[in-house]
Amino acid sequence: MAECKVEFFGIPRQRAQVAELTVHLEGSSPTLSDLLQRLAGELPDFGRDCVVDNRLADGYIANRNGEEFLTDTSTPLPSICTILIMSADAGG
Amino acid sequence: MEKTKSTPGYHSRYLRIDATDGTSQLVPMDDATLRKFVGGVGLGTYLLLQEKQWAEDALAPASPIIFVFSPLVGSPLTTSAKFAVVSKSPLTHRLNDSLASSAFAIAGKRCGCDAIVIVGRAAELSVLVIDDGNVRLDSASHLHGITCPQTERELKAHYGNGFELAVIGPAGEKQVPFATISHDGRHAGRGGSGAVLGAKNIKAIAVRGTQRCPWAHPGELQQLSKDLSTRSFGPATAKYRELGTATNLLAFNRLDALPTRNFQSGHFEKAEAISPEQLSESRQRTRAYCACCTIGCEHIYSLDNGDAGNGDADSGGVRIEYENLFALGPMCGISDPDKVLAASRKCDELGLDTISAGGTIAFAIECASLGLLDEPELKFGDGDLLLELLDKIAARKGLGDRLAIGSRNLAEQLGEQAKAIAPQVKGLELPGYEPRSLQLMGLGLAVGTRGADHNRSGAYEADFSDRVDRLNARPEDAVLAVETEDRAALMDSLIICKFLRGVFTDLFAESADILRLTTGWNMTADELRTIARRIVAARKLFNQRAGWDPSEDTLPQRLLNEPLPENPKARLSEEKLQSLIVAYNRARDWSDDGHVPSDQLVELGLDSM
Repeated sequence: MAECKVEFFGIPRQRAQVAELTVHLEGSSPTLSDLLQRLAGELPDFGRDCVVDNRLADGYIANRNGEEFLTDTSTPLPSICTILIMSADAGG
Repeated sequence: MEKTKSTPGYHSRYLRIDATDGTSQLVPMDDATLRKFVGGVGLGTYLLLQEKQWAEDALAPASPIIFVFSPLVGSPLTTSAKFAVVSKSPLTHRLNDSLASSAFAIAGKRCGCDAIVIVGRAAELSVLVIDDGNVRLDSASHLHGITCPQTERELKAHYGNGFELAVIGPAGEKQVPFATISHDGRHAGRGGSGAVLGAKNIKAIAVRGTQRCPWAHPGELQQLSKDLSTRSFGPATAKYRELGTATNLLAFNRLDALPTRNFQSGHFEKAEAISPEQLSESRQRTRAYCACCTIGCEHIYSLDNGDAGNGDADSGGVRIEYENLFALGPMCGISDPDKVLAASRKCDELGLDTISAGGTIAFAIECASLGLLDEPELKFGDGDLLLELLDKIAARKGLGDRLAIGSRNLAEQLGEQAKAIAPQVKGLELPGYEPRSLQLMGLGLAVGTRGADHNRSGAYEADFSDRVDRLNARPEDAVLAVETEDRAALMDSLIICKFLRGVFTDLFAESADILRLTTGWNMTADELRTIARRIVAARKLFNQRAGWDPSEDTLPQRLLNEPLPENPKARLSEEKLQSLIVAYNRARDWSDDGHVPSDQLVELGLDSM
């Protein structure tokens, strides 16, 4: 069981149509993949454009608690965490 | 000069103009030289070294300014209508190269040259006209003091639509060392190339031409161009197409990487108000494209809820990039979108680099708050004051004249406490990447030959990955900063837009194929890696000749002594930065203190320069 606050930025926010939401994941050790699968189901536009095969589509990246970037979708999520979803390209 | 056999994609010659008397000559360039430096910043650095004026003041008549095209200009390749402006910077006194995209590149190359080198100083404010290679100076005395878009409009009407223009605004005329060169509302922005042109008494360059270069394999080039264009519509560029570079703002803010109130913080509590997510809901917005571009990263917002215009230099909207928002918003503590957008528009009109203008003003505000500068009216968050100061800087009036010298020079006047908080490296104001929370980028900013530079180092790519701990970069990560610099050196010499970088699977191998189709050279990815190393080393060589010393490769003391208040883990130190710099220098096979060794100069063919 994990309680994940998800914050969306840029295109992911536009597709999700919310800036943030909280997701409760069942199971003993839910992963980033589980979270993305759940989000894709609840937020169809986000799922269509930002999630492929339960991982983030090219061009997007996840970050845990504002500290660590995650690309391995099998990464277990702690029982309480914040996941940021944003563009992987920081060029400006 | 009779045209001799040229390399496909090139005219194999450059046009050298003395603005003092309007004379010009075409100077041949051989195939070997072109192959060693390609074009853009690479070829421009070569030509700048050939001029041997590294010890000259950047604004002296003898100091050259060079407009450089590339073998790709005029081709159907997406984003290829680009040119580089290369000179010594009046702000940093080191090499400066700024890039821009517009039809100026295509028309300039059709004048029958691969670069235009300008030295001297015209007797009066002038328009340098290059009409199919024929050079003359026309009086521009009637254009004195008018803005960039006004200048473009008047000269378009005067010369006709066949001409393309690069112009300076009032700031360039006044030789503000962070003045820009504008064309179609876009700018060769950083390092003060507008001041260098202004010092030559040149208000504008008007180019028109008919001379096209053949391509080595035009059919295959057309096919590759279609493929690249198709890929440019994919997910790697979605950010740029949908919200533009300003998308960075809220993400950076969340990661404590958005410099705020002169780097006192990495988090701006009112960032939402000026975010593109918010702006796009409350204002008209339209997109614009550079010439020959399929991405369309420019997002133009309406001012005061009016019309967003169509992206032309003289239309009603304002182009918004991340760096404009950062420098004129959070950096100055301003959250009123009307003021931030108006300030951005004003910089475009006056021909001011938004990053250096905003950085210098933010620095002055903090100095005033600390009692280091006797200007009590300066306050963070005052948008009207920002607009007033921009006008004064461009006109060099009152306090504006003090600010017009940039933060490093102003800090020299104000003392040691001010020097520690001046937001600059080598005199160039820092872009919107907080080095304490993007530490590999901090390394890139410290060692950049142009100064604090987010365009020649893309080390933030590594910070935004799971390869690097952005809050605790290690010496072994420095090689990643080297790799991004080398990729930038190649892209800036080809020249293609860096927003394509995610489109390539193997930039070096695919670039070799692009050059094979345009020039006929059978190149390998390894040869292009060597070319990138050569270009980076040549840029450093210019700086060494101009007086660079290792103490310049650093960051402001504040960033090395103070953790970010909202994130104590975001902490750099002098020792830590130094260990990263040594690792960077070793990864480049330079001396530990950053000099290019003589055997590498020989290996790269730079020993005769």
